Amino acid sequence: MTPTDESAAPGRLLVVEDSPSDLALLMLQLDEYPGNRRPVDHAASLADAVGRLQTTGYDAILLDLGLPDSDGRDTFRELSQASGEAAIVLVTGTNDSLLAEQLVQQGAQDFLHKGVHRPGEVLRAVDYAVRRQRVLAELNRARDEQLLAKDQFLSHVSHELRSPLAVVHQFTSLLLDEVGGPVSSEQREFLEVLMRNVRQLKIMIDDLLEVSRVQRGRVSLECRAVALPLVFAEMLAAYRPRATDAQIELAARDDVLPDVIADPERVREVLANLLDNSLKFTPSGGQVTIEGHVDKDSVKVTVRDTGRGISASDITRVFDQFFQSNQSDEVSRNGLGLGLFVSRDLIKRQGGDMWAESISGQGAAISFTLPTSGQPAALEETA
Amino acid sequence: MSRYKVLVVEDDEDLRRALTLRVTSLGYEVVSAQDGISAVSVARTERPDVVLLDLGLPGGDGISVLERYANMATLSGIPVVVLTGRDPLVAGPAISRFNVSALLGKPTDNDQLAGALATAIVGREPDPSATAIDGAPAPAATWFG
Repeated sequence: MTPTDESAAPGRLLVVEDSPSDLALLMLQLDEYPGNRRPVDHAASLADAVGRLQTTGYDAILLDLGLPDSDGRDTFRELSQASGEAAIVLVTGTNDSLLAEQLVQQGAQDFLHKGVHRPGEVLRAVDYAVRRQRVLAELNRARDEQLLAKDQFLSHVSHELRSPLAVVHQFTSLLLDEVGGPVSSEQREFLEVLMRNVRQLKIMIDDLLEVSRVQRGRVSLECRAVALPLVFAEMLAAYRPRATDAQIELAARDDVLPDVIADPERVREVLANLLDNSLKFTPSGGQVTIEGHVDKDSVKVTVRDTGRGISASDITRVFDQFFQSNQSDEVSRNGLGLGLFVSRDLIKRQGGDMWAESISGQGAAISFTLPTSGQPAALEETA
Repeated sequence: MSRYKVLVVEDDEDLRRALTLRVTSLGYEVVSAQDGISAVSVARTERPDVVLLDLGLPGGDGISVLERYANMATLSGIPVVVLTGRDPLVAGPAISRFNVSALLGKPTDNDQLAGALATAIVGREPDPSATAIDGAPAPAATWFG
């Protein structure tokens, strides 16, 4: 079967070429091929081409990159934004192969050098490009549908799990509060185990919903100038009782820091996640610190602990979705392994990056950066 | 001293019972409803000081209950605490135009529940016909849930 044997009539082809002689040669090669049933239109400038794309549906575009009103990469970018699902085949001079190859990486389906081709060669390139483009569009649609179905499933499951969990949680707490009568110390101990696991389940269900949001980019960010030392102080106040209970020294060490541009709620969420991890893995007598340093146009924040650290094999994987340490004791198996995955995503959305450093057995350090506003910290905010 | 009255609206029988016990243990008088229709009829006859409302309900979901409260002069002033298993990012905008004083997720922390109810009734006078018992909660001035 040849590409032109498809039963449906082929869609229109738009030839974008400003040189009359190059256009004549191309049209000759398209017309001379007896199998061509593809209607062909012509545009001599980028503006003309974009105008045609707005009013007429095209299957494919043969595109000369050098036009009177646009050139090279810009031509491709402008046209691909206007082209919908049309397949773009570039027509280039022999010196432009490198650019053409780069543009194929960016979504062009193929490129042809200007000049004489074998009979049918231009049309065949167009037909195959259209086929590839259709397969790609179909794959994208299928992927979007699957992501949506997965999201709806996660949202539904997380919703449906909450009611029975709320029942278990409420009756357990009623028993603990002795609403149902006195409980013995042993019964209380059992009920507290039950309660701890209910809380764990709730965190897992929250994680499911959060990761679904993150993957669909539905996380809403409200970025503004944020004084990090204030955020550090809030986090220390919130986590100090737990650290004191666990006999861990919790402190912040920071330079005079400029404001960062970030969503303060999300920064708190990330810090809470890092502090949770650090406090979990640090034995009593240890230390957990939040450090803040100016680093060029950003502030680098590090949460450092004196816990057991991260093994060399795990250090690149701790940010993976569903990562669980091989040290699968009760402490590690806590949550779905989504905390760092979600945290890094949140930081990247705010223009920063996040990474881990550790010497196994000597503590872990997770750092992230946030861009500064370029303005010195406002005095009233640090007061 | 009179007690404040809470209407617990929850279709899950087990959870309705648990919440009734919990809210009673907080010192409130509790009446309950199991669907959207009775959420309105019980509110009209009982005149609660605050409604603890689930959103996923048969017979008109929680949003339609809020709409009906808002459209009835006798019920529009009653504060509502929403307790839902729905995603707060979705539920929040949907309830923002109503007289909702707090949005709690299931399962909710009991301190948060107590704080939300206390905040909702700030400024309300308890129904003098309700049974008086010792230890009824005084409305909290602030709540940082």
